[in-house]
Amino acid sequence: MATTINEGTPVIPTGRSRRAKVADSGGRLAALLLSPTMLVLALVIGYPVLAGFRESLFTRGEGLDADGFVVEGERFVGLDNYAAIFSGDRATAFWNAFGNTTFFTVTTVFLETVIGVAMALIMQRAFRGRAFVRASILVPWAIPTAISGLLWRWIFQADGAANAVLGTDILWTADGPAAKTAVIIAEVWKTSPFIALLVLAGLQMIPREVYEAAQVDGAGALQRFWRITLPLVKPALLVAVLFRMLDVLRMFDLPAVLVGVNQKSVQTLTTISWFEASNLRYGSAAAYATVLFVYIAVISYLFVKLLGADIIGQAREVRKKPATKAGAKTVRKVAA
Amino acid sequence: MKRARLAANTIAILAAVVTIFPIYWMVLSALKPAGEITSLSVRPWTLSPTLEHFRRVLTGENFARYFLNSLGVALTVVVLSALVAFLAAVAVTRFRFRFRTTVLIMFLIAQMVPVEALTIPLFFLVRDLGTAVPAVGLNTLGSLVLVHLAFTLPFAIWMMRGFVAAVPDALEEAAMLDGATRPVILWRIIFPLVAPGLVATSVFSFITAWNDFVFARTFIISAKDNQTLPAALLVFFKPDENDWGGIMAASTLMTIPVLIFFLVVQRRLVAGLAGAVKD
Repeated sequence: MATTINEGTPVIPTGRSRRAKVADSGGRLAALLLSPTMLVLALVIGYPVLAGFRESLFTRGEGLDADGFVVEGERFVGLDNYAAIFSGDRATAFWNAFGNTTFFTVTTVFLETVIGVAMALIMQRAFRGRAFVRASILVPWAIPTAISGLLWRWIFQADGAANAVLGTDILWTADGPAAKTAVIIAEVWKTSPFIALLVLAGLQMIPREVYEAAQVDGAGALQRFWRITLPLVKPALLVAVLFRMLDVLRMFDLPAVLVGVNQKSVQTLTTISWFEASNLRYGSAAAYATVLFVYIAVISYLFVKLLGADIIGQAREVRKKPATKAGAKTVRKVAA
Repeated sequence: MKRARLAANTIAILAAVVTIFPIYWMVLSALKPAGEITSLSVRPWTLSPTLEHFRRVLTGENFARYFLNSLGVALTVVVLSALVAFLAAVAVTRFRFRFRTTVLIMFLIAQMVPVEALTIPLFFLVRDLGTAVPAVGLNTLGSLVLVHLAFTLPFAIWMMRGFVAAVPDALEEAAMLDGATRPVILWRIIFPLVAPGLVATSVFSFITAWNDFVFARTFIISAKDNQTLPAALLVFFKPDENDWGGIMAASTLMTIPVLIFFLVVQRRLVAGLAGAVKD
């Protein structure tokens, strides 16, 4: 889109008086419309990120300065908090949390995608009792995370329902691989519906004729799924998966409620940061938060690049059609 | 063909039963008498259901108050988020301006911030804001509305974008020729047409706001009257032995409003979402 000339920029005002006036006021109006959002996001998201980053360069409390004097309050320590994360015992803890975060993200998002797509296909079919099936499949997503954490902790009790159904004596909510499994089950149970919902919405956009045509041509059910359904719901699915990934990478409530905050096997980068903060090591907590933020940004960038999730381009594409019709044409003429 | 259909239906029902089981277990545990809950033999039914746990929750300190506070916060977030996201979505789909792509990327980045890890800076922010704007300071419900509004906005704007883009330009152009001003076009033409989108968005916002535990526990420190539902739940946690009957009853009660909200808009939700992913 080389022709995208911003309507806000004052390009040669001759020859398009009315359009130009509309366009110019448009830029300002857009800014006005965006201002509430910007204000809220700058305040609640932007400021804490910056404050957190600043905090990560400082340390609080009593300590010795370079000359051996006792000092109190905030002291600038540069990248010491970061260096501390990556050295000695702390490094082991960090890489453990990093590994858990990544592991949870990969496993839960994979399972959620498979189950979510399956659920969407089920929900789309017309059959008796569909309303009940649809509602019950979507309901877990509507339950608050902390509640579902509690619910699963109750089910995973040593003498709880899970062990009774399976006939086992596993200590699910103690530390260890069982705790990881418990977190994954609870997370997948709760959030597969989210993916199912977005995929279902995508499925409804596929015209029935496409399937009928494929069936006439002798395409089997599996073939229809791989060749028609999947490619056509791909945009909706990728967006759902991206938003899920952003959420799981920041996972906090579920492992904290289900197992505990400082449990090695389910320690995530958010819970480790939370643990530091609750022990009043704010600088260190902020350093963990910053590292996590960077990690999430890198992963999402790779995801968007590699899989071509059309997050931003989508709007550009939508905009292109009317834009070429109305605004851009005149602009292009003027620019030429 | 008939056999395949039967198999598909069976799988569907089975999937529904498996998903619903944990919820059944929650309600069941809330209805079981205390003796049965602690007994070692786990039974998937109860012969003597009791409302004792519910009674304890409902007559507990201030439960009604907490409930109304939570509901108020969630509904305020829903309304504000729908309005603000609508305006922003119009801006990014209907206008082209410098930094438009930057703005869109910023919304995505806002979704990446690990907010729970930034509770401390947020706490200080709310504390300092409180001296300037008391309505959103510590111990106020306004502070919860403010943070949840911010958490819901990026996703809400992303969803609303598709709906706004789906409104044909021709409608606006016609209105403009008839002499309608921008605000009139915005409220009289675009806004009613994106109503299904607003419904879909409101579900996400409601669930996000209702989900809150961390911030309710962080910002509302001393004002007992401004506590929200997590406070009502936490009284059943005891150092020696958790009161699971009470916890499950409170959990059930906390789940009901979301379920009602969800079931009411469920049908429109899927139709609405279909609009968001259309383009």
